[in-house]
Amino acid sequence: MNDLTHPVSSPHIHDARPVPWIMRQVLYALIPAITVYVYLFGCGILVQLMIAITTALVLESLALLLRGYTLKAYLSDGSVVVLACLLALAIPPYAPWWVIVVGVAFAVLIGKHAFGGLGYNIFNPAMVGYLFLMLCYPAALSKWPEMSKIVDYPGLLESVRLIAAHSVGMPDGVSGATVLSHIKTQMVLMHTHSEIESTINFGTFAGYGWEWVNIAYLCGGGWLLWRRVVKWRLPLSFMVGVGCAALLGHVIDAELHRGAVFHLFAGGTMLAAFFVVTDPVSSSTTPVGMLLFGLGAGLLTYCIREFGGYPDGVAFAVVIMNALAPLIDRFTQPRFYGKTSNTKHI
Amino acid sequence: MNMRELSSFRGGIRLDSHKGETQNIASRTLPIPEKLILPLQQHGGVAAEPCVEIGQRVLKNEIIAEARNYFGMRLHAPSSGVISAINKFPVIHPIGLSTDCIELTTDGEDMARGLNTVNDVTSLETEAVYQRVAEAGIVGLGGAGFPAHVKVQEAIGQTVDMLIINAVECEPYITCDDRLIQEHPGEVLAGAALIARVIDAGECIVAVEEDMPAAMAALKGVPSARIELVSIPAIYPSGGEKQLVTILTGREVPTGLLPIDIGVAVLNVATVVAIFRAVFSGKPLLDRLVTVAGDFCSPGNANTLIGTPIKYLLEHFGVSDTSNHRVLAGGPMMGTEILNLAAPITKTVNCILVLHRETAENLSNACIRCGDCLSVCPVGLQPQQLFDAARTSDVDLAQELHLFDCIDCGCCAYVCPSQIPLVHYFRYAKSSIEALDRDRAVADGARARHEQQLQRLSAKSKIGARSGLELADVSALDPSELERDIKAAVSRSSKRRQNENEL
Repeated sequence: MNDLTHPVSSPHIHDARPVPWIMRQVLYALIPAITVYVYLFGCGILVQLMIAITTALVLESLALLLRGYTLKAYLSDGSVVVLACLLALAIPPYAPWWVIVVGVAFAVLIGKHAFGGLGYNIFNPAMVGYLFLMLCYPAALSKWPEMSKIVDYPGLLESVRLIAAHSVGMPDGVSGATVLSHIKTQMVLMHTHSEIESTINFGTFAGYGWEWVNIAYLCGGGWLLWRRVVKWRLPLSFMVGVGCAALLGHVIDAELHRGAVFHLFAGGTMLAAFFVVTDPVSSSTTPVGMLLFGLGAGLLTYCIREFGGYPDGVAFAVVIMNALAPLIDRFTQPRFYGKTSNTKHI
Repeated sequence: MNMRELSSFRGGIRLDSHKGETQNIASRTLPIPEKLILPLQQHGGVAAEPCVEIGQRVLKNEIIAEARNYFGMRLHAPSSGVISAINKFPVIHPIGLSTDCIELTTDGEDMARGLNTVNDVTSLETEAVYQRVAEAGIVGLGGAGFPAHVKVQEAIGQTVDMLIINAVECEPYITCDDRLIQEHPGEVLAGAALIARVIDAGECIVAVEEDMPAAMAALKGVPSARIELVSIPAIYPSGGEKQLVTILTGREVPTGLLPIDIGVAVLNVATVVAIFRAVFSGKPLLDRLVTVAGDFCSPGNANTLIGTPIKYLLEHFGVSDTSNHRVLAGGPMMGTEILNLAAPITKTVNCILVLHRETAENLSNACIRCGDCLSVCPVGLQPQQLFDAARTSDVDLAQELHLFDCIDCGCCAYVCPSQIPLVHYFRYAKSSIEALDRDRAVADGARARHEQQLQRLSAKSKIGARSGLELADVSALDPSELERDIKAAVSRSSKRRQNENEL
């Protein structure tokens, strides 16, 4: 007798790329960025990743058990590991251990499971976790190692010691602001860009080190595009959004606003373009909707960076667009076969 | 190669065709099985009415069940023998229900009742052609099973710019139309010409899929004047009626309408051959080509009598143990799993597919809204949004998202990374909305009747008021007069009831 709980409806053949496979590709695509992190900052990121993944798996299991799901099917989809990695990459590599634990806990329990788990979370859980940390522990998130000042890269053991030490960030002298937050504080002091440039290592085009992090994300993203795990619409429209807004600002006043190349390769732009706005669950799904979503997130990112109170605007921009995604989808329904002109549009 | 410029529809998938396994093997003819099970309902219309009795001897070609109405379909005895039962038998059904069937125990002599042949089909009147199609009990053999005479009649009644003979077998494995064309190309083209003449079609196209080169060559070998042969790219579901219309004409069939409404008639190639045989030799639809394919060693096509038990058919292809297999009626994309192999072949079964029973992957079935489904949907729907509507039984949203334009092709579920049985959800939503509409129609009828009754009552009370007899004033009447009136009313009503009973 057939098992009627498992429907025997057609089609009877499948050729899909299962969700665990998709999540694995995303993890592979993060390898270049992680490598660059290790090169620039030492082994801190590896320790953060370990803590993040362990916390995420434990809390995901707990949430699934509480909600009455089988662990095997749901844990193996790998989505929570991706979440943990993205969040770990978003915080300073030598932030104390409890920062990532709190962030992951909030992301998994509130960002993901409170909304119904994978597929139902309306906000990108990694960004929800990041925003929670940013609002509650801004100091912990602002202490990035100043790359140009690091002489001795912390090894694995040293990293563990630093992260476990319960202090905020690295010893003074080697910790400081990122390029974006440095610009933010200097702009508040009414300095122009040509003045600011002399006070921090600007690297080749987008801040020493950060440009390489972004290029690494871009490489991973290119690979995801080639593997057709992400579709071009979201990342491209996001980059167009950031780039066009930056270009416009730069043309209007070059002393107050930096150019498109800087904004594309500064802060979390590329991380957002390929790993955050491309989260299918919380972004738009219609073809036109994807373009609007990306453009909107890009514009908002730029506006928050330039006019808001925070150095980087990626997380806020994405979460705001997440909230708008259902509306965008509703008003960007593609034309369907046989649609007549007088058919009522929804 | 094609003279015609082809359009394309959006979406669709290139599937592994598996056609080479059977398309070059000559079809065989099955010996007559001992018992034939003939379901009274083999198509979308109304079930036929049996016109034979248990124990009655019937000859091949003899009518054993009559159509109940215009959309009904008569049934003929596929061989000679004795009617041994009229009862419920298991049939091909998604959840394995049984329906009313006639069981014919054959005598193996295959004695036939004479057929009324015509010498020259080219001079036959339109009306006579239609009559002969209706008498032969032909339904669309491509799968949907729409009565052929209704389709022909509709086409006669309208201006038809184009007649499309659909030989685009886009589902993997199925090659019965391919074999039919290779073995009887003359009948295909003669049938196409006949129908084109009868419905006065502007042009006539026979469309085959690009992976049917032998069939194309066979058709080219037959001289035919007005018929264009077109080869279609093998992208599933290019053989879908509306998709094929779009490929060949560049036009879309508006939602809620049929191809005939934009002047295009589409007939499956096997239906055309059946129509030709019915018109030419008076032959009713008694058998059809069925592909038997899948994961076993000797697949092929067989000319099978309608009513042949599937188990019998499979045994002739050397498939006896199916405990590790799933047996499907139809192709892998849209077929129905057969839960009981005693079920018979019906007029619409083009393929029996035997696939290894795969163990389902342990997946969470959560939609991650990746959008793979909407990029393959040939109708341009949003399966991921429809899924949410169907899952939450939001019937209004489902209809707003054009649920009823879904053609059940299965592309969305084929590519779904979470292997969500999307088609299952959509079919369920469709049938529950249809049931809801039926209930609403019944309730509306009841409400209308109730309102009419209220109107009648109020009209009566107005008459009473005019004659000075308000209902409230009953106490003012003389009691003996009242009693007399009541008795008279009671006797009137009992007399009326008696009359009704006699009627």
